[in-house]
Amino acid sequence: MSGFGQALGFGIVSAALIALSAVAMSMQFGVTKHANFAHGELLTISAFTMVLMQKVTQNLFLDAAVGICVSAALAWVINKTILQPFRRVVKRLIIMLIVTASVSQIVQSLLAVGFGTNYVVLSVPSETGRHIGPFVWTTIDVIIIVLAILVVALLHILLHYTSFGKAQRAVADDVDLARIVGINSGAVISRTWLLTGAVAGLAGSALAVTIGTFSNLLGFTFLLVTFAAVIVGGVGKMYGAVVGSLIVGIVTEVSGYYLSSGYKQVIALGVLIVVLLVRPNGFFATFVADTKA
Amino acid sequence: MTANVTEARPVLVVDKLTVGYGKAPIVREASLRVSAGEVAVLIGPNGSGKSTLLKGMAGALTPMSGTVVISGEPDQDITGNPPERMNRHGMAYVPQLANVFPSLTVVENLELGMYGTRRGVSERIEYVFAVFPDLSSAKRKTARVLSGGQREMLALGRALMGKPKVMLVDEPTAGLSPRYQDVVWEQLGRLRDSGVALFVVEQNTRQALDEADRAYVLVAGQMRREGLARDLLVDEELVRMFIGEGLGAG
Repeated sequence: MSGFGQALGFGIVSAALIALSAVAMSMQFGVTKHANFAHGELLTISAFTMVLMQKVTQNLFLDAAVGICVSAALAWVINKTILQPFRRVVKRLIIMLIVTASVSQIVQSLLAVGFGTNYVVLSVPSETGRHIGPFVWTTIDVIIIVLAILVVALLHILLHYTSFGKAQRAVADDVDLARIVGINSGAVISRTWLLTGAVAGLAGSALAVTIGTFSNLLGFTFLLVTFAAVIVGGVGKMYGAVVGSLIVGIVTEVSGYYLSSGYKQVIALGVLIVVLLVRPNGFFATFVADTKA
Repeated sequence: MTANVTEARPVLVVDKLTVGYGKAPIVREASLRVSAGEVAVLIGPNGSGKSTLLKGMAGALTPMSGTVVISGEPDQDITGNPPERMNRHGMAYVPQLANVFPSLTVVENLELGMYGTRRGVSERIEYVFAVFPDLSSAKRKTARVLSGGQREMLALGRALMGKPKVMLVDEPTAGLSPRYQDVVWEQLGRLRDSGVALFVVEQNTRQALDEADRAYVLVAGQMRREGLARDLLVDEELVRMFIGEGLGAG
């Protein structure tokens, strides 16, 4: 088994983790049209909820389920109590970015007060990797890959075959027109936060199970690779986020095989810069045809 | 092309509506009425407030004063209702620009015209395809690849999905070739014949008066003239202002 194959296997797992986070961020951005710098904290809160839940139950799936619910609830509350009132009175993007960055700092600080700034440990059964084709994956790795595929497939079905999904795409296209055709855009945005909070929570749980020990900066440090994947794919484009995740995940892990793993973040940024130079709007940018009869 | 205008009870009655941006009124105390099966046009020079008035009627802008009433049993005062509620009262609004969802297919755009309704959507889409046959052949295409004329048809078709009593249409022929302008007016005529009350803002004064039953003239935010379109078409002052010497009498 070549080291490259193993690195590629790690890259696919890494891509799956990033994809879970990136599709959530991309969907939220597509509908609300502003980035959420507190996205990382949705991952962190889910991971810390799992740590708390382990004092009650040793069932990782149950712990993750509660973590996902808490993350979804936090996303919904952030939108309802902070972002929605701001959206009503402030239309400037920069203000919304500052608000979400502030929320990020507040959640980080609250977690530091509750848990301290040291690392916490999530007990995960140790297991050795098995050869699956050219890759070496643990059961948890396989579960994460399957979950990522499943989530993307479910979101695809939601967006294309349900009334809510079509309303989400309509709001993403043009919120004013969506209102004119009778869509309650506020309700669509609110449910989108709930949904993307849940998916981000799933990403946080998966990340926590993968690395086992983490601090209140877990999600914040993961924010960079998530942004890289979303921007590489084309901001607001869910399928672009998946492709971006594959590129960022695989390139960072494979490069880690040849270079020190300490360069992973640098490599992620490098990929981001190179792609933006070649495709300034990312791989999946779309352009509206300006055609007249 | 015009219908026989009768003095039927109007479906839409706008009374002394004042609309503007912020605290500054753009349109002052505009009144108008539109009956079922009638096309009424709003004409006037650029910047007179035509689109602002339409937005005030559709709920996209909150009126400062006045009323917008949809006739029925009972009459419904819909003044200042948010746009997402207007459909429920039988009013559909087709904006001038950005009037389709570009990333959605033709069928998905039409489905959103009946958002919140499950029953009868497919049947209604077939009805819209019968009214706008051009859309049927493009039903799987995303709206972003449609021509300007097809997009206008799609916007009108989507508005038609909710079985509106009244349709407010903002400059449906803007930017279209003369051939497609005729096609759009032909389709508006078919909508009128189906019993819908149409209130259309139009820049092309001559064509608007040719095609419409009733007309209103808005100048500097005030309703200056109203009457049967065929009468205004031979109004010397109006012809001089908006149409041009030698064209008005057709």
